[in-house]
Amino acid sequence: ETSLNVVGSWGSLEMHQKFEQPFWSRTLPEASDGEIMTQVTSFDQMGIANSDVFRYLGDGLFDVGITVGDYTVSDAPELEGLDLPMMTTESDQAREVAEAFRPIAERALNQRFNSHVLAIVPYPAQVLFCNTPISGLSDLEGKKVRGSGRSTGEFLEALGAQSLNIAFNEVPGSLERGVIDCAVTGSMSGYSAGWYDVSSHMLPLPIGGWDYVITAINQDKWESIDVAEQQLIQDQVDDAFTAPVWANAENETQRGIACLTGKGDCPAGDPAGMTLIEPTRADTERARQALQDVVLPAWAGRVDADTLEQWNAGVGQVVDLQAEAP
Amino acid sequence: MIGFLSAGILTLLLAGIPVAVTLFLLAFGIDQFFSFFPLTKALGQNLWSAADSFLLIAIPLFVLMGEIIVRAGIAEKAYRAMDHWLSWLPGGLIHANITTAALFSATSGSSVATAATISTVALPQGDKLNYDPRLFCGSIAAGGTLGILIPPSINLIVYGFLTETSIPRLFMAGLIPGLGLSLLFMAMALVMCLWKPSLGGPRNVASWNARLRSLAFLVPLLILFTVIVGSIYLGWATPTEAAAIGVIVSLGLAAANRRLEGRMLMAALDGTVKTTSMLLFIILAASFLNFALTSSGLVQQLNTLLNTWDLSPYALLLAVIALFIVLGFFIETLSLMVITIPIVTPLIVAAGFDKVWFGVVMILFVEMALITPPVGLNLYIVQAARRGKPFSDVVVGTLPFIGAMLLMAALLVFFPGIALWLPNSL
Amino acid sequence: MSTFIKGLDGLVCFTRGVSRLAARVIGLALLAVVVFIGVEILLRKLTGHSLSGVHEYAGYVLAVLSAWGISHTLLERAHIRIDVVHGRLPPLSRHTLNVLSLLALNLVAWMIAINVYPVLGKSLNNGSTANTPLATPLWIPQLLWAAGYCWFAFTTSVMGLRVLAALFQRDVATLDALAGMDNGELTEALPAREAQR
Ligand code: NA
Ligand code: NA
Repeated sequence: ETSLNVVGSWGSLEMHQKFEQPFWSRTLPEASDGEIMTQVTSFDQMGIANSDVFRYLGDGLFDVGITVGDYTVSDAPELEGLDLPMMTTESDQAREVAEAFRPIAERALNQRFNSHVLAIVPYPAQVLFCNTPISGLSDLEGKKVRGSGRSTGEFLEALGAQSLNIAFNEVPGSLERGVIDCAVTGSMSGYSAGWYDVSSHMLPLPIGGWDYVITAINQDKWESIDVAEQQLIQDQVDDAFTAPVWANAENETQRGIACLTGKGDCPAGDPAGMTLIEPTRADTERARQALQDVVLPAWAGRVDADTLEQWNAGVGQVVDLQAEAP
Repeated sequence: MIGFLSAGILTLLLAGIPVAVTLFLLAFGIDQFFSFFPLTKALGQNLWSAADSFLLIAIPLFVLMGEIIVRAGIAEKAYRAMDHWLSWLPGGLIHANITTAALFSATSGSSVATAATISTVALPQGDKLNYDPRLFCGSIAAGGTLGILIPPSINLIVYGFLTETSIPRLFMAGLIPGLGLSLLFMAMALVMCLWKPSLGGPRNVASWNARLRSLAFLVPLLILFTVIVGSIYLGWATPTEAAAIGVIVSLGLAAANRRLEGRMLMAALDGTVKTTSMLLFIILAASFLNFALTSSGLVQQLNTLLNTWDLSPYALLLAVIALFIVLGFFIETLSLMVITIPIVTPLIVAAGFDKVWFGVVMILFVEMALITPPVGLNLYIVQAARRGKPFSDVVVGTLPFIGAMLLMAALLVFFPGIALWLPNSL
Repeated sequence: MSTFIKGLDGLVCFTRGVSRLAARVIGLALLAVVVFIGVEILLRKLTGHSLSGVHEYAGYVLAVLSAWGISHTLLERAHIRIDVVHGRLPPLSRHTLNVLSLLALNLVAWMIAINVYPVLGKSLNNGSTANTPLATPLWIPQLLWAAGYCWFAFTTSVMGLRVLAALFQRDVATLDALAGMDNGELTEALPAREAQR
C-alpha cells in the first residue's frame, strides 16, 4: 500500500478543481484497486508560497507537489527556458516544447529539489488586456504593463513598454485608475476576475508564455515505490491527466476569448463586449525579434553550457531558435 | 485537536507566556502529536517567505508615522480643538475623546497606537475635571478601536494580503462604517449622560473665537489623511507607498511645528522597530500555526463539519460571528484574524457574501475583541496609562460602546451598501 | 560564584548594546526605504520611469527587521504578555512563571535558529537569485536574516542563564528586571510615554 500526500496548484482555478483534484483523489486510487491512497490539498490552502512548493517537496514535507514552473526560477533558472514569452503561439507546438524540455526539467528537479517530474501541462495562454485602444504590439511602446516574472518583464521592456509588478488582486483597480495601461493573464482567469469591466481591448498572443505547471514527486518516495506501481502512476498521469489538460487548454483559451468578446459560445455566463485585436504578421515578427535579441540571450547567460546545449538540441529545434550566451 | 488547541492557548496565555511564543509552542505541539509530516522542517522557509514582503512593510511605516505625529505634538492640539467644539454636549470631553480618536484613526493604521495616543492626551484632563472614570476610559478604549476601521488600516491590509482582496477597495469600504460607528459611539455617550448626568463631567462652552482659531490645529491631520488616501485613489501610490508618503509628510509637519530634531527622530525609529518586531513576531507565529493547522487537516475537518451542517447563508454568517466573539475574548486580534481567515472566508464567499463587505464586518468584530477581557489590548493600553486604579473601570466603561458595535454590525448585515456603496461608486 | 555572575552581567550588557545598535541600524534602513519610495514615486510621476529594486529591497529590510528587532524588544520587555491571572498570583508562582516563560522563549528561539540555516543553505547550493530584473543573490539578505535569529537565540540563552542564577540566589530584583512583566510595556512600545514629557 502506498500513501501519497499531494499539494496542488492554485485551489481556486480550473486546473486544480477539474483536473488535479479528481485525478489524484479518485482516478489514480481507483486505477490501483485501492493500493494507492491519497490526500489532496493546494499550496494556497496550505498557506505556503507558490515559489516554495518544490523546496518543501525536496524536504519530504509532502510526496507530490504541483506548481507553475515560472514561480520557481529563483532556485532553478533552467526552468525559465520552458516558458519564454512568445516562443510559440500554437497549442500543438507548445506541447512539443513541453516534451522536448522534459529532460532539462528532470535534471533541474532532480539536482535542485530531490524530485522526479511526472507531468508538464499548461494553463491557458497568457494574453494581453488593455484599457486603451491598441492595434498591435507596436502600440505597447511607452505603456505601463503589468507582467509577472523576470523574462516577461525583459520582453516587455524590449518592446519599449514599462513593466510593473502588481499583485493579481490589485490589477482591476489599477487598470481602472490608470496606474497601468495593460496587464497579462489567462483569458478565462481574466473573464472570471471581471477584467472586462476595466479594460477594452484584448490581444490574444501568449505574451506571458503558457505558465506551464510541473507535477513532481519526491525522489526518495519515488524510489520506495516498486517498478510496476511506478509504471502504473506514470501511465495514469499521462492518459488521465496530461492528455485531457492539453485538450482543454486550447478549448479554454477559445472559450475565454468568446466570453470576453461575445464572439462565439460562452458557457460560463454572460459574454462581455471587449474588442479583439487580430495579431498581425508584423506583431509576431516584432515579438520574435525581441525574444531572439534580448530575452533568449539574457536567459542563456543565467544557465550552464550543458543546459544550453540540451535546449538548443530539443526545444530550439521545435521553435526554430538557438540560444547563445552573451 | 480542537480541545488541545483551546486548552493550550488558554493555559499558556494565562500563565503569562508571550503571545508569539504561545502560538509557536502550539504549532510545535501539533507537529508532535497530530501531523504525519515533520512540519518544523518548514519553519525557516515559512518565516522567510512571510517576512520578505513589500506589502507588510506598510506596518512599520504606519507605526513610524504615528510616532512622529505624537512626538510633534499634533495629536495633543487636535484634542484641544475637539474639546472646544464638542464639550458643550452632555458628556463633555467624552465626545472629544471619540472624535479625536476618529480623526487620528484617519491617519493611523493601528487601533493600539490610536488608543495609546488618545490616552496620553485625554486621561490627564479627565482626572483633572473629575469625570466618572468608567465611561471616560471606556470611550478612549473603544474610540481607539476606530483606528483599524477608518482607513488606513494595518488589519485591512493583513485581510487583503491573506484573502487576495483589493486593499484600496477595502479601505474605501471601511470609511463610511467607521464614521457611522463614531457617530453611534457619540450617540451612545449622549444617551448615557442624559440618562445619568453623573456619568459625564463638567460641560465646557468655548467661545466661537476660540473654536474657529482651534480649527487650525486640525489642518495637519486633514493634510495627512488627504495625502494618504488621495494618493492611493489617484493611482499614484500603492497602500505601502502611501504609508511612506505619510511618513514624509508627517516629518514635514513636525518640522513646521519646530519639533523635528535628531533625538526625536531616533526615539521614533527605536519605538517603531520595537513595536513592529513585536507585531511581526506574532504575525509570523500565527502564520506558522496556520500552516501547521492546515497541514494537519484541521481546516479540512472544520470545512467538512460545517458542510454537513448545511447551514443557510445567514445561519453560517451568524455562526461565524459567534465564533469571532468567543475567540475574540481570548485571542490577540492579529492572531485571531490570521487563524480564522483561511477557514472562514472561503465558506463565506461560497455562501454568496461579498469579500470586501465581509472584510469590514470582520474588522468590526476584531475591534470588539480589542475591548473584551481577558485579552483586550486596548483595555490594557488605557489601564497602563492610569496605573494603580481598578482595571474593572475600563472594562465596564466599554460596555455601552460594545452595544454600539453590535448595532453597527446589524446595520451592515441588513444594509451592505453602507460598506459597498463607496468602493462601488468610485 | 560571584565572578560567574559578573561575567553573565557583562554578557547581558553586551547583548543589550548589540541589540540596541542593531535596532538603530534597522531604524535608519527603514528611513532609507521611506526616502527611496518617495524618490521612486516622484520619478514615476515626472519621468515615467522608476527605480528598479525599491520594492525588492524593502522586502529584505522587513525580513531583517523581523529577525533582528526581536532581541531589542525582548531586552526592553516589550513582547506582549497577558497579565490577567499572572498579575494576581503570589510572588513565588509569579517568579516561577516568569522563568518558565523565558525558558519557553529559549526553546522557540533555538528551534527557529536551527531551522533557518536550511533556507540559506538551499539558496547557496542552488545559487538562487530573486525572480526580479536585479536577480539579487538570495543568500545575501538571507544571511543577514538568519544571523538575526541566531543572535536572538544567543540573547535568550544569556538571559535564561542570568535569570536561573538569580532564581538560585533568590535575587528578586534582577529576576523582575530581566523577566518580569512590565506593566508599562504597552505604552513603552508606543509613543505615549515620550509625549508626556
Ligand atoms: Na486608520
Ligand atoms: Na478580547
